[in-house]
Amino acid sequence: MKRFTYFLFLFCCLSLVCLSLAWAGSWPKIEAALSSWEGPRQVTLRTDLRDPLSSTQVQDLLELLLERGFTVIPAPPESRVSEGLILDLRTAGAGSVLALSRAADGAILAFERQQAEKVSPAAKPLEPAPVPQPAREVAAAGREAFAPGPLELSGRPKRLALLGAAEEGTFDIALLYDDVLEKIRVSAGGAAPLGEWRPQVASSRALHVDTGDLDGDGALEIAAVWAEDLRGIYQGTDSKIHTWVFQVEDEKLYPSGTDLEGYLRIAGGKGVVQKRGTYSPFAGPVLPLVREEEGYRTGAQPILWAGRNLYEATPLSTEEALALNERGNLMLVSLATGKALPGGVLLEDLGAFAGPEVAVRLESPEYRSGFEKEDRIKETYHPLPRRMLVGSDGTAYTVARGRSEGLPLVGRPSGSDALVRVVRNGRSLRLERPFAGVDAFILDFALLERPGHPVAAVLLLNEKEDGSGKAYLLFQEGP
Amino acid sequence: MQRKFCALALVALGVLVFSTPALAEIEFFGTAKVKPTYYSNLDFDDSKSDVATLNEAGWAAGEHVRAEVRLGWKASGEKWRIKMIAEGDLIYNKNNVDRSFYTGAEDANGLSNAGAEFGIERAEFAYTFAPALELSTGWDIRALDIKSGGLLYGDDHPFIGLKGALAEKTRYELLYLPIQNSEAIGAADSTKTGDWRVYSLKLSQGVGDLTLSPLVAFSDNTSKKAQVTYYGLELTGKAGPIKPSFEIIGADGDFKDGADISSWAMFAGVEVPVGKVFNPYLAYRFTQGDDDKNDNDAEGFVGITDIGRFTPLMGMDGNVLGEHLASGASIYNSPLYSFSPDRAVGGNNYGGIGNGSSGNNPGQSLIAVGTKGDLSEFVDKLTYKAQAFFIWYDETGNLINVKNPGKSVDDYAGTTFDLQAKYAFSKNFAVDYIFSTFLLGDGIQDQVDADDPAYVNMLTLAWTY
Repeated sequence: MKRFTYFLFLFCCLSLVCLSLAWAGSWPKIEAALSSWEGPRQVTLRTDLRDPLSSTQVQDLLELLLERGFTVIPAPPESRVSEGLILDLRTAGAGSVLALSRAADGAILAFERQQAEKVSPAAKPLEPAPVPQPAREVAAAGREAFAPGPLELSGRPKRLALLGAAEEGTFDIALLYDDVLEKIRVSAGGAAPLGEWRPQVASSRALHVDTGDLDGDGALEIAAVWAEDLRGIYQGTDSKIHTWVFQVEDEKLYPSGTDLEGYLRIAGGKGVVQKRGTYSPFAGPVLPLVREEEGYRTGAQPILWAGRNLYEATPLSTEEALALNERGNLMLVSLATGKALPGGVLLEDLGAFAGPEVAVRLESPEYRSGFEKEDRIKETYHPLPRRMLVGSDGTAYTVARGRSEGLPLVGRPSGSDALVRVVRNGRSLRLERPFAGVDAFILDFALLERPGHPVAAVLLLNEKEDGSGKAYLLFQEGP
Repeated sequence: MQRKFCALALVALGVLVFSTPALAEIEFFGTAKVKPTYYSNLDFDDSKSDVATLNEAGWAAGEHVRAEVRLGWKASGEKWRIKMIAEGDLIYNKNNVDRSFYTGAEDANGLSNAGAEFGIERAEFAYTFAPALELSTGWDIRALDIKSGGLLYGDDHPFIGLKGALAEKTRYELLYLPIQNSEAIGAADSTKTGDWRVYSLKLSQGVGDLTLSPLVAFSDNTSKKAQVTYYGLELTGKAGPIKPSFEIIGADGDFKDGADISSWAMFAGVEVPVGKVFNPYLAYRFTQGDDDKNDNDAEGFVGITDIGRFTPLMGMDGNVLGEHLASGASIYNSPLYSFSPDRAVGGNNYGGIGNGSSGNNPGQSLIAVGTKGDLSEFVDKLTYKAQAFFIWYDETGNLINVKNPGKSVDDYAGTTFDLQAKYAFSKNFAVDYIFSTFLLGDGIQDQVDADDPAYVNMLTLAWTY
């Protein structure tokens, strides 16, 4: 009996600790006033901070308000508010003050002071994102290097990037397969493999490939990203990310440095990297790729990326980017804050595009239909979004998915995919369809910009949406 | 009747889907598992014929094929969700698969195999009022300690629950489990006859990458005239590269006009991810035993449902220790899903799966070592898990020595060894095989006067969609 009395005492102490931790917050008076508020669940947050979202105080306040079911309207200090609550945050000397008042009559319901936020002495403003490099400009080769129709490829490449013209009438392309990176040379006569490199990774899948002159030597490097699926009987599947940068010498591919173990993209001639989270497909800020003597490493200074993941936003300038909203529409956003710019939404539906997937283990598996391993959801799959490339005129190009596989078992594929471009007109966006639709799934594409010629594209096509069917290369010229 | 209800539910759902296109997201899913299995010598004695034991599909012995077929559907809106799962679970037998209820289809016990009928096996209905308050009810999986040792509770009993987030890292769950509510017509005090209700509260507090969870549960088992309060603490999460898990549970109560119930149990385990192929773990599982069934103390630990078979470190879907080594099939007397011999000895009965465990049980002290990994370096999509359990009885005073009558039973029960390999042909189809054996220690040899290992060989063909 004694030991259980002791156990009961221990249990009560622990419960009190948990409850006190639960109840304690950074602004107890504000929280208490919010809990007792019975009016409209709306708070106007007025602050004199220049960039409110970058303030940890504002971030904590937003989490507090949103968790309690309030909608939050940011506003400048002088805004007039007629409904709900007003939360005024002002910096004052060495600290800040918070006042919660009732909009109807201005009555102050709670007031708190806080010490100033500690500012890291080493804090620097985020680097602006690299402005996307225009699509490859090709002086010589172009149309004549490609067959007039789709060129069937051996194997099942999943991604491609352009390397440029080699000899007259030929063009070099990097193709990324699940288990190999291959450099091929296309000509009117077909495609010839040149060099290849295989990751020493079992169970790999192709995610992304890009080319760019990362070291400023005038030659293009290739950045290739694979996912390695790590499986556990009871733990499910988890994808580890592998990335190498390759130099091309004498038609052979040489990895430059070690595995970066993070997603990589080349934008504006510069590499940008983002890591995976333990239980999330992306984690942490987008970081620069830094050249070292023996290869490359991930830099430490975050890059402005509209608060999105690496492949979900495409910078158009040092201030604006294209990103998807929660409904899947493209929109113009601020690169610094990620906020949508007024009037910058493209309402046209580009179709549901599901790129290669990254498997992420769940921290707590869901017991969907039972206890056994087959009955549990142990991981989630996250498809990468469609590629978006920016031309030299600032126009963005991407894939519009119009083709579908049809009904399971009985359906046949139908519809057409097409490469489309998104044109800016001030702050508004307009969709144009300069290229003909194709009766195949567009897995990936690259742009060719040649002086005196319209923009052209090289498409990687496949009979099946997941890239498991026959693959083709197709050259398309715009109007 | 169940089939009609199931069909009606499907029709109603179909009408709902087509008539109100913007009402909710609806998703269908399911599994189909076929398990050719061979139980051998669960009684540890080659000289005797094996008797049937119980699994989810019913009574089975020797070679048999169990099939578990589930079809589920989920509908959800912004704040509400509904999930139902229909299931058929049967042993491959013409009388089970060909409409179970016709005359002549009864099993050897004179019963139709109701489990073969495709009925609603699980259901959950929930509404989220606020992040701090979600109401859910139904009969679906709920657990108190399944992330650690599974000593106390994990099952799909009926429930009404409230749960939510009190703060960013603080969560709670309050459960009311009317496990049994069986009325007896004309019986005095009939509202309490055959009843078993459990009330529980669990708090979970995040501390860095760890989660600390104090819990309490009150078991009002009027069916067995026993009331027990369980107090516990669970710890899970990550500490750097290693993953510790720990739980400790105390039980305090009594039988009406009977023995005092006083016991405890604990689990501690750690997993160390070394590499892709090798991820070892070490665990210790303890349940207190009773030393004297004739005194007034029921000290053998009995939880609400010991769910050890489905715990992350030691669990395996079909190893010998997780099968039903009870109901006359084996002297070890651990019921289905339980790793501890909580049905052994008999008397002072309360709790456990099926409310059939004994407060006079000998308890267990178990050391587990194991490893698991991904073998795709050698064969793509091949994974494995291997483990060994070293099992001692905590108390042997209530066990009978048949080999040397009059002498006490040795405390070393035996050793189990499990090996499982799985090949995933695709996301939707996988095959796995378990080889599992129970090698007798002197403790069980003393009780059966034999020395023959028990085996389970189980192949699983699994379709998931």
